[in-house]
Amino acid sequence: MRNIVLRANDGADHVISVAAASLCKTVASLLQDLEASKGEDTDPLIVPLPNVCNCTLQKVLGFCEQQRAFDELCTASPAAQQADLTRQIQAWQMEYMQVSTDELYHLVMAAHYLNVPRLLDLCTDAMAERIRGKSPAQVRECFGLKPSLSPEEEEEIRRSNLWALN
Amino acid sequence: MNGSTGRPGHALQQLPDEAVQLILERLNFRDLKALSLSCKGFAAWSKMATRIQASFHIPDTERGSIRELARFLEGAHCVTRLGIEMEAEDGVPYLEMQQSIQELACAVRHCAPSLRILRLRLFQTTSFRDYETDAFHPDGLHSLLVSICKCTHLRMLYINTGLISGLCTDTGDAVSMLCAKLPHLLVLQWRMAMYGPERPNHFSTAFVLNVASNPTLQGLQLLQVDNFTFQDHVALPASLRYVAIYNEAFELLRPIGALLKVCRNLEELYLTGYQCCDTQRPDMSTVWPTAQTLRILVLDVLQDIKTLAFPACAKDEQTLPNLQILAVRHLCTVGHLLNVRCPDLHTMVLFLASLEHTKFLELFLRQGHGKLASLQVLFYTRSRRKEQYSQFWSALRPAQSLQKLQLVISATQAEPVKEVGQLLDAAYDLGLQSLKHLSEIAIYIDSIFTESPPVHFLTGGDLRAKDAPGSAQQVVSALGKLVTAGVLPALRKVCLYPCWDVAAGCSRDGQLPSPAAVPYLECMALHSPGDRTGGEWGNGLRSMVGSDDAKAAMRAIESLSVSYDVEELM
Repeated sequence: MRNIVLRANDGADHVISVAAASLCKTVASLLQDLEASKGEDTDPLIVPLPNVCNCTLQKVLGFCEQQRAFDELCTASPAAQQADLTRQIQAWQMEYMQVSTDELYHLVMAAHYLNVPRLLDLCTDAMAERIRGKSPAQVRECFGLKPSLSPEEEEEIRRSNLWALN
Repeated sequence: MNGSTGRPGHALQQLPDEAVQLILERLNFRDLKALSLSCKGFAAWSKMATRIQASFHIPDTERGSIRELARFLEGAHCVTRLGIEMEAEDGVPYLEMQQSIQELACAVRHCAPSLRILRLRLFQTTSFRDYETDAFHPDGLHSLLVSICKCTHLRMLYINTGLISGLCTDTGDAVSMLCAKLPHLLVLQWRMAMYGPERPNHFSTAFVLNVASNPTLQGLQLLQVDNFTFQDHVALPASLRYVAIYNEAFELLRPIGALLKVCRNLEELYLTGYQCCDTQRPDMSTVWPTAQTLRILVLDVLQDIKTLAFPACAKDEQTLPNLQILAVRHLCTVGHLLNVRCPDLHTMVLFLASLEHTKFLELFLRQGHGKLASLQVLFYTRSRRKEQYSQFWSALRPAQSLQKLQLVISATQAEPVKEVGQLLDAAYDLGLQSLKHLSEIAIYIDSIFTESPPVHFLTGGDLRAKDAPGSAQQVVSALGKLVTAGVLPALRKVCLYPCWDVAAGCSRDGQLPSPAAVPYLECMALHSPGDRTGGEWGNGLRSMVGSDDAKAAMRAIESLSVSYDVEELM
């Protein structure tokens, strides 16, 4: 089977299985184009990803490989074991999402660029979780923001939306 | 990580719109409010929200929170989905409740032009009554309905008014008005559950959203209403494909044929929870012209069956050519069903209040339902005579295509578990020869009352050797006799639920690893309490039965009714 190499924006190469690569729809689409133009060539397919740094790419590929493994397990496991498997997947995803806000931002951007719907879902869910239940001050603290609204602007937002903090 | 900006908050504001929408739709109204006031970028984000979800508690300890929502929505032109929950405590002053409903109406009105999906859950534990004047005031509901009618692009409306008697006791007129005013409405669900999830719940949220988002559909497709009276002037739209009416408060006073007379596209009909007078059966014959297209029919009529005479069958045989799934509470109360042929019927769920009523089952099966493959029977039992078990097996004789039999035995004590062996022995004694294709038997024991002591099949320890009554081994032995005698030659799968390992003192899960003892079986499952088993019921019955197969028939029947009259049933 042909090797697939994903090349990060700093030139670092990562070999990935076809099954895992197919989870990235952008890569899958590029592969189709390359296959069509090069025919039955057995040379490794090199897919340049100028918008993704090496570190983020590693993390994304880790997700794709693990999801592919989970998918195979789900297909092979009897119905009685599906609940256990679901718990395993959830635990792995929770561990996977133990990243800084900055890392999470890059993961969202990469998941969007590479078009990995399941990773995008997971990341946006994690992002929402960091906002949920927080006050404006806590949101600022979580995301390292300084207050950017002047008292007048804040009043304008309150007035235009007519939201009043309790 | 490479590429770090060191200013994550500002970088976040550069996220693509699609990702932002995914984040926003996971946040409720209060989170959006906090986000908006945290910084300029996030304030811009919150204005992009297309889905707003909010919940409020009345009395409003954070004064004016519903008003805040209304004001936020005043400038929101892209909100397509709005979901609001409002829970009111007992003893909420009338004026405050009235005002809250008015503010809610205002919130709906503000985003009416863009709204496609609206979900409102209004829970209240007291009636909507003005105690000063001792009068009910439906004004709040009226203003809310007027606002909803302004949502002219609405495709799905779900509203739960709880049991607010002053708000609405009869949804008939309101439903008629909404159908007339909302030309794009595909789904209308008007429920009245006070707490928690509504029951019965025939349609999953995913299914409903799928219908509501189908751009090729026109006209109301799905109607689910609680407490809908059959007013003479109301006829449901012809476009309807799914109708579920649950009546807790009203008797089945008039024939429902008039209500459904123009519905010639109906695929699923659920008529559940109806009260019916004790001496007269509901006239279901008027439904048959409409029922010709039905794929699923659920009829649940609560009636004191002891006072009923033997049902008179319709003179002419009727045919329901497309019916695949039938669930019925008392076959005897719907006498017309006894003379109906269903050539495509493959699944049937039936409640047998007494084993003596197996004669009705036999009458029905004699009509010839050549594709009936799966039968679920729920019956209550205390100690029974063996001949009654024989009658049950005898009734199954016409069901020659039966492949799967699920028996749900509802019990208050352990004796019925011990009688399962007798039930199976009765088939042996009868010399039943007609169930040549029956390949799967599942026997479920369920407690009638939640406070009843749990009843289980027993496994493990010395029970196997002793073949003790109530043990899984005894049931297996009885089944083995049936197979080897050629009564059930095709039997390959058995499921017993729930099982308890007396030796280990714990619930028993999974397969029985004893092929020598049960050589004819390919699969035997001893499921423990709380197990989720199978998914066979995903084939059209949807959430009425669901994937929790062990409770399938129980839920199918229980979900259809308000309560049991156990004395009547015993």
